[in-house]
Amino acid sequence: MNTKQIQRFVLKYLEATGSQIIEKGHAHVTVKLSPEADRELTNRSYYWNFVERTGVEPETMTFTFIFDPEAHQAAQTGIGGGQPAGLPPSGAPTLGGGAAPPTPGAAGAGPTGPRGAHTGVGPTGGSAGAAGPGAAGGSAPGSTGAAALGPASAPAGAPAAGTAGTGQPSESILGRYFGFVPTSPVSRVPQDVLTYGSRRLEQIFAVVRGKGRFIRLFEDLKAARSVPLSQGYSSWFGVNFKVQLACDMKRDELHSLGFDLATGEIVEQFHDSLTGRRLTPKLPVNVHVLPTRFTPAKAMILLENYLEKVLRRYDHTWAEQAAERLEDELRRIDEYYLDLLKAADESLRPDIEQQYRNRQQEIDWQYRPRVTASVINCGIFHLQGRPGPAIDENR
Amino acid sequence: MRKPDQTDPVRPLHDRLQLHFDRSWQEEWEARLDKNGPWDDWTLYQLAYEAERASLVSSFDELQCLAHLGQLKPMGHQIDTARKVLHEMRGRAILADEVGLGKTIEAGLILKEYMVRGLVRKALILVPASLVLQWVRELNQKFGIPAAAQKKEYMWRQCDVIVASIDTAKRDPHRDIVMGMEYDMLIVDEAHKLKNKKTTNYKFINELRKKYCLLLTATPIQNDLGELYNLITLLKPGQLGGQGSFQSNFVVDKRIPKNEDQLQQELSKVMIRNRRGDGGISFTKRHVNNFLLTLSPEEQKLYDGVTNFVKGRYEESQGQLSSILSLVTLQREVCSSRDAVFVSLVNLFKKTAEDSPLRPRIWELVEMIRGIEANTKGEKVIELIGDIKEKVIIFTEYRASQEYLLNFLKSHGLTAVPYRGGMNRGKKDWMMDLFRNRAQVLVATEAGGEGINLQFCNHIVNFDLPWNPMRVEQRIGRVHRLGQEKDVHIYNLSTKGTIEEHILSLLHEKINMFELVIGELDVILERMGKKATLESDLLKVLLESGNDDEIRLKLDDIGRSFRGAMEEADEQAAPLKKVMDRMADKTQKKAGSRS
Repeated sequence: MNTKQIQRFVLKYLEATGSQIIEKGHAHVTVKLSPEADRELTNRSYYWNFVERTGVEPETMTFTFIFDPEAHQAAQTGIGGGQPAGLPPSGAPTLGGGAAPPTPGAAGAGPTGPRGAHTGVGPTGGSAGAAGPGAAGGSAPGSTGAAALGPASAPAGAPAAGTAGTGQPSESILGRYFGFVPTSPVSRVPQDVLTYGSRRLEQIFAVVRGKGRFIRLFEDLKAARSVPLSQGYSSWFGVNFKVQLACDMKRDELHSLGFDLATGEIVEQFHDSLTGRRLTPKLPVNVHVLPTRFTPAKAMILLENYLEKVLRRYDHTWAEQAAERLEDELRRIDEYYLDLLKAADESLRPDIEQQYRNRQQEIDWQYRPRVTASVINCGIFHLQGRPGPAIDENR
Repeated sequence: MRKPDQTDPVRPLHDRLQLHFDRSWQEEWEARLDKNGPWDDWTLYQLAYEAERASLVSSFDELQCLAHLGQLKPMGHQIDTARKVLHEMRGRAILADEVGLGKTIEAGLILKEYMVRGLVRKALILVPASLVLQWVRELNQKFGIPAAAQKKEYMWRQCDVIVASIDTAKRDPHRDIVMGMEYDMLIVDEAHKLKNKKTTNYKFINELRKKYCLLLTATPIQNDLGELYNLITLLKPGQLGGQGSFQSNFVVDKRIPKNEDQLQQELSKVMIRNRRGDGGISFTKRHVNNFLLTLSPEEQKLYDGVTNFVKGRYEESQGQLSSILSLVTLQREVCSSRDAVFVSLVNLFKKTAEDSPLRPRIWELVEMIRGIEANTKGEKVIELIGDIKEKVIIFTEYRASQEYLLNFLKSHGLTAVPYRGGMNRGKKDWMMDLFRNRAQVLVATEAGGEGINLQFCNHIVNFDLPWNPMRVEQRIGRVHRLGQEKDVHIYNLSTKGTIEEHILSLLHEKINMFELVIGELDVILERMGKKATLESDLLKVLLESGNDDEIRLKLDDIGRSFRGAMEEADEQAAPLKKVMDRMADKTQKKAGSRS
């Protein structure tokens, strides 16, 4: 999965859960989670228990999901470069400050605090800023903004200059009137990197696997509404199988099979053939479902048999090799333990035998080749005509 | 053969292969079908399929884990090692790289690969107690593996990847729980501690039920071929034959192997050893500069005063070392900075009984500090930093010296960042960040801190020297490690006519420790059993000697015995080392021919 695909995937998930997108950038998205998504992603079961029991209005969390950390970093230093928010005025270098410093993430992301602004215009900022790559580059809009607006808006105070530096003119106008603009909640938003393999993405994968399992849908045809006669839909049983071939190593396959409940016909790549169609959970108007001959249960048996036939045709050298390895390994420990048992004291034998059996089990567990077919998800699909990409006039 | 039932969930595919249909989902599906719902969302249905497709492992051999590691870029030999363990050793191996080559990274790669493939869910990682948190952090941060440090009993069951010390795991009540589990993967760090078959640790590991297993050690053989045999038997019983046949096939004497070629061949099936200097694994040079500084008259006066005070107290205490330790610290602190000794003196003053005759003597010393205006070492540091012009790390043993330095540097217009053991993780990371991006100087009191990698810097100033050679090594090791591209410069500051001068001459000239290869010291000290005693040996010498010449002579003795032990250990281990080295050469040649 590349960055774009991940971004699309996550946005679809956020949309499906009704989360509210606050800000969408090239490499990131800031989102206020819906209660549904919050429960699924934030591990706050105590909080949700509390909400349920007391009936208070839930306050869901806001996250910034970063899809491309490098691009995001570049964008951030571009904005925040003018204010070396990372370096506090004096506390850290002298060790004097008792106050906890901001974490690096927060400091980089939210250069809107009054403290950041102080360093931006103040004398200490000058030397520190020179060390910062963003400011040295000179291309950062923030740095020029702060430098130009700082002195000009002097009566408004340093905070206004700080916010102006981030490129939010509306706030700077407010700042001119009110002197101080409360920092937006965005500055405290936890950030999460969503690259392939990241924990958060794995979590979302797990969530959708649990939530998109069984389904029943009807094709929604605009054309059907204007036709006087009711349209007959055929019923398909679609099953997405995951086949795992494993020994001490493993590989997987997906088999998406569709079964026509009227004729018993089986098609492959069923899932992909659905993607172009408009599907709805409600029976559309002017549509009826044609009678079927097979029950889904019967269809399942036939699909399993079909899959078995497909798998039987595979080259199973890998399994033979794994079985040979298994026998080799068993032979190796046989030699060792039989020797040991021969020489061992009578009283020690039961222990050694136990150990021997354990080793045998471990080796079997490690090497025995096996194929497992499980179902990712499945559903009944009522479609006009046959599945496949060839139904252009309906789209 | 019975004709398989059409609805049987287990069916033979091939004479040695069965197909299992997982039917656990059917009940719920039928229930929903009966009630015609509730049905799931179409988008989520599609996303679920997409998620499966994205995490699909389509090939048996291609390394999947690399795509899953965002920031981490493993080195060539680490990836080669992971491949070899996965494909040739089938997940049971001894990782015996020399110190500092990233055995943890290799183990992490292998674990991650199996997890991505769904072959490992439950993993147990047994490491020395002091390394538990470091492992947890590395697995989480570098590999995105949700590892947890074992703290509560329930965690054994609840956490899939758990890191614990072997001593905890083998104790009741943990033992029974751990024994009741089946671990998809077991990793043991510092596995050379399992060389003795009769120990409870060995028996414990032997009894554990595990599928894949990695043993990590830099020193698979220390004294005896039997150790190696035991280690391999733990991993794969019978790999080197039974105890008897191993003895007759491979052993002449416990340190002298025979049939070396065959032994190496057998070893290379279960063990991987990468060495420094092998293709692609190179360390840069170390340059050592010593600066012997002359104390200002005021400072010298204070030093002498403190020395006399300490000696007097030592004679009074009749050679009891423990009570005197803090007093020697005073001497060392004078050499560092007046700030350091000031704090300790004032504390000592407060602790001393009010009617004690010592009190006025201590106060005298405190008064002497007032007379000191400049710090000789401090001036030298400013000069050095000016010459170096690049990033510099200054190490000191004392908090007070650190604060003094920070202020002193600031008054000279230099931005310096502090680093201390007491800082919490977030603050430490932040300080690292500041040093990397915005400051020229880092002033650190702690070097042992895990996970700080400072390869972007190649100048170290030892403002004062620890007496424990391991701590010196740790300081250097923070900078001089894999990934350091430039030569490393070490600047040692010491003061003439003080104990510091002696310490430096012992470490530098007699033990030659600044030139030792990374990790070597650890091995030598362990061999000598010297880890704990070297420091107290030094202490004794310094306190009991009447004058400088006597000290020098006695330090010569220590140095000589150290070197002697080192050579002896080397000599004894030479035949064993040869086996190991030739194995590494072999690994190397193989890797070379492949690429």
